[in-house]
Amino acid sequence: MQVLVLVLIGMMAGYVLRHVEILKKVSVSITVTTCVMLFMLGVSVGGNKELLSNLGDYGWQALLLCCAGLAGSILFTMLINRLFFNEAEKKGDAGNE
Amino acid sequence: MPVMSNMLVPSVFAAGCLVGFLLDGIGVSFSGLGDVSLYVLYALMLQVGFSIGNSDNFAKVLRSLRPKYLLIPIATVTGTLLFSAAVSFLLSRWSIADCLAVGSGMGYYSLSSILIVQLKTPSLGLRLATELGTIALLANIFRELLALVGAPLFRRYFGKFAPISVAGVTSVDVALPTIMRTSGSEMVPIAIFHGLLIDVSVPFFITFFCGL
Repeated sequence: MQVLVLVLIGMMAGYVLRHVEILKKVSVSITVTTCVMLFMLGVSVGGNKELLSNLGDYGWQALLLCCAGLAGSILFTMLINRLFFNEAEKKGDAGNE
Repeated sequence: MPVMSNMLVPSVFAAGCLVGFLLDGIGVSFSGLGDVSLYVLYALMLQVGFSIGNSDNFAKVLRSLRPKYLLIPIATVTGTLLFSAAVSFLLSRWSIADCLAVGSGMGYYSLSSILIVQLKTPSLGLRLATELGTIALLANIFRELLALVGAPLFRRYFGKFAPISVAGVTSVDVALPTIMRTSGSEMVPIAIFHGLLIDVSVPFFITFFCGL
């Protein structure tokens, strides 16, 4: 919950201060902060022998979850394309490779 | 927004793994790390929100919003979540909510893995939460990779929205050039709109599913 409140506060502050040029550099500080966190995640994975020895096993589970997500989003996008964007698709196909 | 270059995240993670491995080898424990990383996470979320509110695209895209295009991110989210939930029947180790949390990363691997570890630690314990976070990291990296490599294939067999949908959150940045090449430049505004909306939704979905 705290996390969401922080996102919302950030969004409002970001919107209010959107004309302050220097603050557009926030993507750099996000990259730095994310790297710090991922480094720490790495440290806790690397320091955990059990986790490390099972990394291949996690890879398979991750691949399974990834493919399921892809299949689901493709299926639903096709459905929506067919139901709501029919004429747009035909036009697009005319100029297709 | 995931603005980092492709190799940065995996290499930082790998470097962390190496350091953790070496520290563990000489008998250093890092049980205090969780508290520190919680505050780093808070700082991160504040910045993520800030960048969303601050971006020129956000206001512009919101103004030019055509309701019909909202269907594409909705399809992406619905499809991903539904099928991720189904995977929990194959992976007995994880609950439906766990699989949904991983799925709702939508390709945003850095943020999703970090959030899942933090938010799942109280209920699953640090070890299992780290495990799930690692799976989220890998699954969402795979998603981005497949979106980049498979875009022509998805375009050909599944329609012009498929490369956008598959890219998830990365349709606004990393995968945008690929989408433009495969689906055409008229898809670019839709791809940006799609990526931005999913970008905003990721923290909410993950927090929600981690709380179930």
